[in-house]
Amino acid sequence: MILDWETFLTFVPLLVQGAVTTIELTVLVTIFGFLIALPVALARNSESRAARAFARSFIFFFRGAPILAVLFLLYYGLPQIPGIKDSFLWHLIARPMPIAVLALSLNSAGFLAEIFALALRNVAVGDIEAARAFGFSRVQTFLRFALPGAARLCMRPYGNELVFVLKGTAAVNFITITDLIGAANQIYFNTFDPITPLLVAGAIYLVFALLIVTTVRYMERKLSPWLFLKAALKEAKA
Amino acid sequence: MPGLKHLAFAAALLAATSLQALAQEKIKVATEASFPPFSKTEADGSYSGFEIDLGNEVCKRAGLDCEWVKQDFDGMIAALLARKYNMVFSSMSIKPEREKVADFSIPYYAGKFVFYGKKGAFKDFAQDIKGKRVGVYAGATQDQYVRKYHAGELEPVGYENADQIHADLVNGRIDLAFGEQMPANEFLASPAGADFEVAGPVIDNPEVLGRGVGAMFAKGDPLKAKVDEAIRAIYADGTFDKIEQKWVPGADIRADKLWQ
Repeated sequence: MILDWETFLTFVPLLVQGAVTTIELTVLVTIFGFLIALPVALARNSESRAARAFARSFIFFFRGAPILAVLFLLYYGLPQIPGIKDSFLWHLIARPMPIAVLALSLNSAGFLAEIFALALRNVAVGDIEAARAFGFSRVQTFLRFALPGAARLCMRPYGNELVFVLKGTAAVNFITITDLIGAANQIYFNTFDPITPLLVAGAIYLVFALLIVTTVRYMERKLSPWLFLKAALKEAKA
Repeated sequence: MPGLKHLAFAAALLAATSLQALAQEKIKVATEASFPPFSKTEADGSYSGFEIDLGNEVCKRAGLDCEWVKQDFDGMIAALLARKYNMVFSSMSIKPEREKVADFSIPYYAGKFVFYGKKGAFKDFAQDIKGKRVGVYAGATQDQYVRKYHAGELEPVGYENADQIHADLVNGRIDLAFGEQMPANEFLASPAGADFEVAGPVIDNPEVLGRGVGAMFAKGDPLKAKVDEAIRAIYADGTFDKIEQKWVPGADIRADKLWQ
């Protein structure tokens, strides 16, 4: 049974609300995932054995554990800790949204840390040695040479990971948050038409993914303009 | 030759079972299996409950070979329409918008609905529920009831099943739950539900909450006639009362007053 547009229009507000939730989650998880992943990546490359072991276990656990398991564990497990309901933490975990952001960020950080660590290891040794020889401090060298160098190397896989973050947000349905796919499902269950709402939701996801890919590409162009030199020259000629 | 004897025996057995299979129509029946006392999943994975016993009795009398299929409530009608099973036997309230897309049997039980929350917290029901969060099945009858009659004062939070609603009620993420009386009583009688009680009046509202619970079929499915007949027979000879007594002792959930 395919929905007529008139019936479908009555569900548009629900769909918009869901889409906004999906964007919110994607943005928050992108930010927190990055903030968690960077120190783990540094620990992964550290000279300290303990730091490396910690980073390895973090990546092993959060990259390997299914998102749903982590989500359920935090959502239903955390309130079981004695005394937590009387502490200030309860305000954070009483609602599903902070838990969703935490669980998805940890999952994303598991993948990101590995990507970042690899990129940092592969920054050209010559660049670093030259910077040190010119008298830049270790911190300066890291911030002005190693980080931008690593960013250039990991832009593509980073873009991939962001698209995964976007799609991974669908899991939050299971802890009572109505995101884009949740809204589409509710329309499906109320109208018994799976095709229209899921196609529309799918199209919206595609647009979001396109936005991410375009942004990442733009950043890549900014960071490594020489990779796009040929295209730029052609454009200039034309 | 003992081998031949065995072979003949096996062949006879095979013939007998396939004959029996021929005589009985094989169908799949959907249950939520997490809505006690109506249906629940046992530790060994088998299903039990009022609806499981009643459903098995219906199948026996209608000459059906039924296989139970577990399905979350929110996708239940959609999956029926997609022909994932032949019949829904899972506390599905009979409502006009559902009758547009599928056929219902005559109602086989009729329950009422209750709100329940922390003991003593809802003494003045109309006042005390203001601004509270109430757990319901997402998009289900109870969800619509809350949105219609308590718009602006109660915030409905949608769940996939009753276990999740009760877990969050105990955890304090929601202040109230709204659902069928029998499953509510089952929860309130359990150790987890000790701190909670029924709040406000018992609700019986055919307009939003439906005219009892019926088995659901794809439009025009001849199964409906067989199942209707079986339900009438089960009511007529007292079998219904026996099953009712076993699972919801002391309650009256007979639906025959709703039959036209």
